Amino acid sequence: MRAHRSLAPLIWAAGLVVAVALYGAFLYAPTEKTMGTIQRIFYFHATAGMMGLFAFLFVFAGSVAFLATRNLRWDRLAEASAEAGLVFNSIVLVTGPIWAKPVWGIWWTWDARLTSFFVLWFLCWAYLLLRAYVARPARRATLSAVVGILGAIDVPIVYFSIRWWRTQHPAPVIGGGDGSGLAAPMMHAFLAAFVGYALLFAVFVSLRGRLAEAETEVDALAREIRDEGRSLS
Amino acid sequence: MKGLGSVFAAYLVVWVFLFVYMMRLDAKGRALAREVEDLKRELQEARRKGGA
Repeated sequence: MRAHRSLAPLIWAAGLVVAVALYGAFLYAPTEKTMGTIQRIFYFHATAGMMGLFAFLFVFAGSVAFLATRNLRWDRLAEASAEAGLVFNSIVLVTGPIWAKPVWGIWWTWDARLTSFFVLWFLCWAYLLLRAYVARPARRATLSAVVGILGAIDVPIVYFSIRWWRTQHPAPVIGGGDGSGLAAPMMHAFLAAFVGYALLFAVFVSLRGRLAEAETEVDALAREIRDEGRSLS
Repeated sequence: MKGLGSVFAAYLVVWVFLFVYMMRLDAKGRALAREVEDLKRELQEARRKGGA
């Protein structure tokens, strides 16, 4: 990471908080009575899901801001957030079935939460694939902003799916009304994992944003070289 | 310790995903930095030829 020395404090902070969260998840938080050890997946599964949702909210915000201002910096924020979001969403879609098999007896079911989350994961891919296939930066930014804004409709559906429809996925343990909630040590571990992921998200978005700036510089230099070549011939 | 294997597998997945993505960003950053340097050199060369 030599090229990103200015991000070193953020990277170190993320590493430190994630280490604290791991301690919290494995040693500090007690073993859950019903599920046992397998419940420890929850700390880094549910928080990854929350980061996936936040990431797409950043895609939405970046997309709206780009369309309002036509400033490509907002487009770069949306792109970086979609890519980081895809990483967190992929973590959710792999760790979820690993938890589900021993607890539910099945790897996957098309219930409201799982399906809407799968759609979110697919939207991240669609958003990034679209960007890969449109060459002109302004057109790419406009088209992907439209997809980013339309795709964000899925975010509240994912969030409310376990409140609107009671299907296979567990009911919300935080903010789920009477009977929901976590024991204090579990909540501490959960919050540490969330903060650790949030810092990692910030690292990813910063790094990816810088790469996008470098890509813009490469395009500009290549254009200048072409222009020089034309003026010579 | 029922389910320990699943917990291990899940956390392995988490760290592999995060690590691979971080490494991918780093590799792409290095490749782009090299490309920028190459293009800058190429541009200087083209300008020198144009000025000559």
